[in-house]
Amino acid sequence: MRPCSRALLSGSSALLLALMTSLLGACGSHSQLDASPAAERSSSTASVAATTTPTTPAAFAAPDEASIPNDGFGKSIKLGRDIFMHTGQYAKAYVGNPLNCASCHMDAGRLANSGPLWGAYDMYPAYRSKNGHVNSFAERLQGCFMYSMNGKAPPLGDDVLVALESYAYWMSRGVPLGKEMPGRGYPKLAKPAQTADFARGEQVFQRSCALCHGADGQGQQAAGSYVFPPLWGPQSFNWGAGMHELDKAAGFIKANMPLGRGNSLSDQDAWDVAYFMSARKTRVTTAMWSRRGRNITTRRHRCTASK
Amino acid sequence: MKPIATALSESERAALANYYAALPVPAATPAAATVDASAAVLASRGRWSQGLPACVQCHAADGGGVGEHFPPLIGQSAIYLANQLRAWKTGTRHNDPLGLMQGVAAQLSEADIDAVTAWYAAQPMAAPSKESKP
Repeated sequence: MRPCSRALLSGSSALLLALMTSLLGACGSHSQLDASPAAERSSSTASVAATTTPTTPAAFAAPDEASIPNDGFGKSIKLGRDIFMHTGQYAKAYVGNPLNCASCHMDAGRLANSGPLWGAYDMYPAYRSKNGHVNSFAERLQGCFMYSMNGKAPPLGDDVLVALESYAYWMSRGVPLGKEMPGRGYPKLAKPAQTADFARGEQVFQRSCALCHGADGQGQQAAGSYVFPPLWGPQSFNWGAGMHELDKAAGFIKANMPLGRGNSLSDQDAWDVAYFMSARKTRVTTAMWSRRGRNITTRRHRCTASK
Repeated sequence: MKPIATALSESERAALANYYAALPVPAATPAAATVDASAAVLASRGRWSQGLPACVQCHAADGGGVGEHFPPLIGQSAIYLANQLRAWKTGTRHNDPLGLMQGVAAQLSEADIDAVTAWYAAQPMAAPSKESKP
């Protein structure tokens, strides 16, 4: 029986370092991407070029968006991409918070060490200990809506799931089936030298995170829509999300935060602030779910916290 | 600007800032320059092969900015925007919190700077925001 899939979790620290080194020294490969709605009026043939990492040949290059065909299948791929980037707009019926998939799966799900789709799609179907059975990729996506988006599962076969799967499939062509690709998921950090600590984490948060996510962790909005997402509370991901797990959060934060300054925090800081964020969330979520009387699936919460 | 700014007292600077911030924003006359499609892409998607985030990720989808620390990019002249990017790139401006803009500017070529600043300068302004500070 296939072991439990950690499809969005594993990664290689060495590869991460190599990736970041290549990013810092990369020559300017001109990358054209499909523009957001505001910019689409002015762009005609702009498209996403392959995301190349010159000095890390093992890293997968997500394809140029110009390769999305101009047919019915392409329409589904593009819808999947739009859902990914503007989830509340294109999958409104299923979301319960203002996050987008792209909030934590950066560069529209293309970026290594940020939970890229090309690192996950090829690993399904897979047995998951989370729910004790073999999950299709579509069922995996349902979990994203229930937990990360604090919403509800689109029914299997729904256009939303088909579109997301189309997008993931298109992006993953060329990835060998079942291969654990370098850069998949978030990097696994070594356990911190000091046990993750709430007070230290709060300091890291105020210093490095509050600028964007707000001192209260509730994000920031402009003209009625979120620019920086909330990190805890009813407007953020819930207890079932991968981001609520300490090791995943620490790995994501280390590689990707602050935005554009990935790999600038120490491992210790990443663990501490991940714990802080997770602890803030637990307090709120426990209270919310108790009031609702929901049936919470028990999960072991491996907590390295001192509090 | 330096002699002028130096001659102002702290309270005068604050008063002038508040005064100008309260003025109605004139309708922008977008530049007639041809719009560069790649600039639109840079602004909205960034260039993650170099770890470069999109402008919209911090300055909002319409370029209108957010909060106190992420100013609007629309309604600014291309020259002004380009000067700031170059200043961050060379280190002559370094008051950006967390060094975010220095990191961004370091990834921008001269052609990128010209293109993306021209693109933002050509964007239409929305109606004046009700949230603008008095």
